[in-house]
Amino acid sequence: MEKRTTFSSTTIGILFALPMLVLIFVFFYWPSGQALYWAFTLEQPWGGGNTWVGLQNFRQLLSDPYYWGAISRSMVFGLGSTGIAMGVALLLALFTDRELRGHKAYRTIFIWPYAIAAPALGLAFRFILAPEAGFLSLINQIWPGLWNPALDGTDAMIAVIIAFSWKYIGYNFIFFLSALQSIPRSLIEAAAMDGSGPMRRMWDIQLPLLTPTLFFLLVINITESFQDSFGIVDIMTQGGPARATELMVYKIYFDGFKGLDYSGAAAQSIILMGLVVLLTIVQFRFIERRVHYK
Amino acid sequence: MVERTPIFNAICQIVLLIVLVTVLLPFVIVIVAATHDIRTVNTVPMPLVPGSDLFINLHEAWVRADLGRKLFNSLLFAGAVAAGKVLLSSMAAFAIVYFRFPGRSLMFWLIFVTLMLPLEVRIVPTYAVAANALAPFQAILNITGITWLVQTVAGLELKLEWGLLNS
Repeated sequence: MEKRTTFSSTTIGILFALPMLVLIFVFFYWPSGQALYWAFTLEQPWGGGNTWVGLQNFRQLLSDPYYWGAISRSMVFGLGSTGIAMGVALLLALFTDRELRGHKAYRTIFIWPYAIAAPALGLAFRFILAPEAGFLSLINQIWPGLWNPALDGTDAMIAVIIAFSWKYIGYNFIFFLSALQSIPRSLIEAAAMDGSGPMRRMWDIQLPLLTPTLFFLLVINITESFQDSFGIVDIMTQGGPARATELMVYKIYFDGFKGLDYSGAAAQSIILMGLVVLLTIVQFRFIERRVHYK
Repeated sequence: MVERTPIFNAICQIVLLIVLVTVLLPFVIVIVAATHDIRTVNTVPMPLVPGSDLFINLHEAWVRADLGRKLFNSLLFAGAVAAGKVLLSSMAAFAIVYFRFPGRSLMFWLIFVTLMLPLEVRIVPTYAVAANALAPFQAILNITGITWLVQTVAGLELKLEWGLLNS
């Protein structure tokens, strides 16, 4: 983060950052502070005050087996969708960067999935993956009962992971492609002149120079899989057959707005935020050291 | 690239084409579904050949959901948010990278942490803040005793209010 020329003026620096800081104070930290306060009280859903109960909400949550189930499902979802989205996007970016025939079309079209809003995406995928009326009904005609996300929890989780990964392949692809295109061509040509084939070049030159982008996308993908999955889960499965796709963020919404347990929802969101912060710290401590910056 | 690798090129093209089809498939299905009437859409499996009801369906959706106004609202919102984000973030990032002052790192993490808390739980307090955007500052003035001071010294009652939800 150290640049060669830095200014030493403190006031001007703070003035530049001030509008952003004021904005996030008013619209993020103040409401979050109130939500944090709610986590330690029992809030009445229709207003009228609250009673202080200390850590009772947290104790109740941590002894609830449904909550631990939601945590493990969120982890599975996060790892699965990040792995698929990043892996496929990396492959596509490496292949598109080779500039074979039609690469300009590939470049444009692979970004389109990210432009679709999560509810529209959930609806489209629900239509496609529906067991009787969708396109997978053909599979069900051959092996009856094989695919049914309305009855089978694993199928529902697979459906949600596929929908989410489809969208984020577009997001990751554009970052990988622009990072690949900023690698100087002279490096690759020098390696080719020394006799390494395309796969060896990808493994030894392009991949190590991509590590800053890989790290950034890992952090962002995992954070987004905890946050942005709400739209898809809400439209596709509403928490799934018997809570099979109830992720932490969906449980917050469900308990808070449908169950009218604002305090429990606030406590859950504190735990979710803590978990995401912990994961980010782990990534920054252990993975950032292996990133080769220029 | 620099050398001739026809087999690897062929593999690359096949992989790219397969993923292209996978990426475009939901778009195609949704567009084709928009061209059928309701009976054809519900047949199993839905025919992939486009029908003839595209403009009827579009007109119906536009009228029923009042899409003209909503698209305009979305456009305005997206444009303003994009402009605001780029402006504020570039200013803050410039300050964090190019200036040396204590609290630089803290500022970075303060801004980064805002990614982590989901929207769903802070939406109700955010609504309260939008109803009176100066409420945090009013609360700060109350707690530090400045309101009481101004009231006893000058007899003026400080009540900051800026309602964002009134019009």
